[in-house]
Amino acid sequence: MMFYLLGACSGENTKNIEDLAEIADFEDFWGDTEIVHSPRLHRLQHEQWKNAASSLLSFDATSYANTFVQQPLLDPFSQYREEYWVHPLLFHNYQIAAEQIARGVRLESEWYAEIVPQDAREGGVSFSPVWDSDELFEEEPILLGGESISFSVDIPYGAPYLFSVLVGLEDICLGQSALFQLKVDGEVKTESILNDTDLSIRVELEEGQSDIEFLFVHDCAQGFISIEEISASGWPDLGETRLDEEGIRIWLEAFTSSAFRRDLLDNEQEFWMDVFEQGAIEIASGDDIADGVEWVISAVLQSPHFLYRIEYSPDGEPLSKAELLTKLSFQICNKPPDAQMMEQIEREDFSRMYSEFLRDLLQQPCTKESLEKRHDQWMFLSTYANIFSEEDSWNPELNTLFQQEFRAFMQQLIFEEKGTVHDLYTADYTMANAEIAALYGEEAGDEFEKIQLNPEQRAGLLTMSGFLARDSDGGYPSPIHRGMVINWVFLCTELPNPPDSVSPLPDVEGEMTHRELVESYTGEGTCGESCHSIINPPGYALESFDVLGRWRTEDNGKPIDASGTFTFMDQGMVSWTSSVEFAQLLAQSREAHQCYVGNLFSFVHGREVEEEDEETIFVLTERSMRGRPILGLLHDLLMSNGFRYRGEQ
Amino acid sequence: MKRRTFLKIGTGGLALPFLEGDGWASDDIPPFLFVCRQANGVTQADGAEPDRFWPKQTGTITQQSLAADSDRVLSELAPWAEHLLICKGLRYAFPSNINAHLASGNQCLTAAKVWEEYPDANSLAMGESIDNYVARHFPEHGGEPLTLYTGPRNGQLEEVLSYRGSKELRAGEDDPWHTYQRMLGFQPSALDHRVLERRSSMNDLVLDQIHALMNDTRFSSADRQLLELHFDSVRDFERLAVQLSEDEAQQMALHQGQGILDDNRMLFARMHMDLLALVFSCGYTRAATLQIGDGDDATEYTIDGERFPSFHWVSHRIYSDGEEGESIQGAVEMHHKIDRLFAQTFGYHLSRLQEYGILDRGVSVFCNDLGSGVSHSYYNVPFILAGSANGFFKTGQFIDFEGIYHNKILNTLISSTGVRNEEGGFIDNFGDPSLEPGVLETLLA
Repeated sequence: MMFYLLGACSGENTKNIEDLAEIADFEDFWGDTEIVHSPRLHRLQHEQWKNAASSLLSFDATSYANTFVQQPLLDPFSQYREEYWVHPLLFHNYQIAAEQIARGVRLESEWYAEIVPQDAREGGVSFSPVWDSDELFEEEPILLGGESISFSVDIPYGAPYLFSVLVGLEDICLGQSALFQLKVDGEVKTESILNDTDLSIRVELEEGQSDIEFLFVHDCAQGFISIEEISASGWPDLGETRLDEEGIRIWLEAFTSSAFRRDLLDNEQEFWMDVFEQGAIEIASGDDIADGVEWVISAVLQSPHFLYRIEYSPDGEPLSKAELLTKLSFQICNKPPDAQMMEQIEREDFSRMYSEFLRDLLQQPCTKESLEKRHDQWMFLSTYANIFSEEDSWNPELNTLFQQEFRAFMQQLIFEEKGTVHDLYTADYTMANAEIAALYGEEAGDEFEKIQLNPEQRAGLLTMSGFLARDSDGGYPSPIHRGMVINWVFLCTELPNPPDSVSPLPDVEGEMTHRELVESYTGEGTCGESCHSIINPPGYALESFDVLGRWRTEDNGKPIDASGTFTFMDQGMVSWTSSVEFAQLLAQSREAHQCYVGNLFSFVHGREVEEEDEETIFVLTERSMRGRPILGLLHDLLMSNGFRYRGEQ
Repeated sequence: MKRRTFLKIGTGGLALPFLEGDGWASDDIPPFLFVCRQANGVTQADGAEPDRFWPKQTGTITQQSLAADSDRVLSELAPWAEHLLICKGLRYAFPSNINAHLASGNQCLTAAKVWEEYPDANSLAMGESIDNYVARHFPEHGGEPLTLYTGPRNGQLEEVLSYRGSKELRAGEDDPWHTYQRMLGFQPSALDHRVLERRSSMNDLVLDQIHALMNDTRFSSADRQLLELHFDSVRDFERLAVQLSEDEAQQMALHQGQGILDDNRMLFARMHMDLLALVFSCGYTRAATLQIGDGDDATEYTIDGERFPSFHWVSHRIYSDGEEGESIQGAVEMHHKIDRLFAQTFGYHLSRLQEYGILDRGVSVFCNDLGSGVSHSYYNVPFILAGSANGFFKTGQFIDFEGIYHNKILNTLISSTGVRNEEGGFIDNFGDPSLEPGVLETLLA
């Protein structure tokens, strides 16, 4: 297997994002690295659905996406494709959202004009009168079972109307059901059940004068009711349409190709024309064009071509330009590619354009948000909310500040400093406000800002206050928990499950330090020795920090012992005497780089690393160890053959 | 590949609970759990009163053997004998110092200790109930159980059965019409079959597109399975929308809000059951409960044209909710008839499941807060299981467990739905930690 390592990655620490352009010639970049076969179908995640619907229909679809049944979150990087399928409840969520959005476009003339600019109409009217019972009737109508009220109304245009009746109930009727019928010109049109004090009845009315009659059919246990207010609202008459068949075809092609992120096939054009025409039959409001628009919008939002990102390109071939841009945009930014980008697709210098687009994308807020979520999951940041301490310096608000510190640090390191994986574990700064800075013995303002830390004490993530506080156990720092997280999260070490019943450690007695207590129960000669010889040493390295991550020099009156030994893949057995020394060793280890690269790979590809990905991971790990910035690694992954090509079956 | 094996959830290895696309009675329907609860005990041996509830012989039961014991309540379930597991000899673990009805109802599905409050005679379970436990293991089905109730709304001593967690009692849904509308996404009061018709047309459009993709040879088998799942989801949910007949829907709509009436108690129970059969068929949820009557069911049941006094009084055999009062003549016979009415209603549920072909695709439980009414006994609390849960249970048996705590049957019921512990074994430690763990092996196939 041949690898093409470019100059930018061959040793010097590349800190300039502009240098990423040097590897724009991606056709030769990844050589013949193996490409894992990937699925062609990728169901949109809820965030992606929200952005796709919002973009397509020029509105904020958040309220709809928020009603969708939530996906189980089972893994720190659980954006894996196989968990994203359309189960019955989700299908129903999609359906209701589609119906309501399509109806919304139909009922709001300005929105309609924005979505169907070819059919922006003039002279539309809407009919929404409200009648107080005093206006309609000489006396307040009181109805017993079998009695009715009636009145005449001038209907300006034929359409479905919703009548709402505000009913006054006597005590005897409360909690009972009451059936109403609505008659139009003496003919029973529909009936409805009274719900609380609001009665809603839908009916289709013709243009002109109509006699409306409400019959109180059910006597609800001999009670009576009063009618206090009646209102009616009809679908708006949008006015005369401007759309002929050619116009319909133009709108359909533009709307559906935007929704599906690709050009329509010939047979699809006829399919969607049929769907449009079906709308007039299914909805039958009398406005065939508006019915067709509503029906098409509803159908498109339920179509698999909208709900999935689909790759049609042949196996082993590059993705089509549209597919590649769509994949890039959804995977990194959770949104469809914008129209401007898709318009550039026919340019001959697509390779360069892709590189520019990618470079631009890596600096956009959506990429920052997206990466932030992944790092939140990586760090199990939500668990910071459960931190509890009896220390006077702790209060529940501090937990939120711990989370903010981590997020601000990652943003600063990745996007502002163009930092590396090595920097993650060795940075001599953090982002802090006054409360967080105080934990480090430093000062800061009310807002989060970059502060320098004592390089003899602090080094990157390992010595960050939230991490140290989260992995403490009651009144003591927990070298076991800290060591487990370092192994599991930072080094991707596979640890066996703990035994079923593990008793908590007893309280420290006498002159023993907490480390000595832990060692006496899990160290050499104990039944937990085999696992804890891996777990404990990295935790011992952080003994210099108390339960809130503050520097300490003594434990139970004895000097802190943060020394230890550990075996890394490349370095073999290593020793250290301080936290910072251990952090440096970890930052140089192949495991730490490989682990982070693997997580980044999962983020980009939406799946776990598989055996066939070994070469890609190896190449990127090498680059990372030679100082490639994290953004550079992300860039490389997005330029890789594995991302841009379809794998062989 | 079957749907249930296509995806796995977590380390528990749960099977996903969906129908196969080809019909209601597929072998691949994962098990559901339903519990129907009666209050006030049953007419079994209690002091001087003879047993009029259980079959006369333990062991194998058949339609003939159950029917032959025609003087016993459970003879009402003879048509389903081979699907039954009649469990006697189960008891609640924790006594009550205040209100035996509430404390027993609270323990019924939780096997948890009971928190009791003076002077309101109120009590709450200090643990989660099995319906909640099962439902939350299936988040793709909403993660919530369906909690149904038919009874009065007086503001006290109402729901007792379903718990989200310690002292977190879940309110029941009174009205099957509202429940149905909520499932379909309608606004209350809209009975618009045109919407259903439109959806049916729209679903055809969706299915056509999915089908076309499924026939595209470029897609791998894994891609096609994803599409097949989507295809089946559309069809499954469409069934929920169309299978409730217009008559059934109208009946629910017209009785909206009338579940509080005593005369409608069993009508509402049956309407809930109409909905339940549909719900389990399409995988809307994996666990449901139906509580008939309030905490100490005071319904005045009308049977054979005779309106009985409050069922609670009947169970005490006196005109009183307390210990002293004038005797009710024929109270034991009344209680027996009420027991039969409940058994018949449970039988109605089983017949609805049979119509959908899913009786043995899950397990339905007919249980009671108490063993018997007069003594308010926590011994011999009936647990009548129906359905093999896809072959998990060995049905057609009547077993007397001779006084063991009922947490083990709760463990067994949970395990029947496919939920497993981290080691892949049965759930055996549900309920209060002080109770001996285990499942009832003799119930298993």
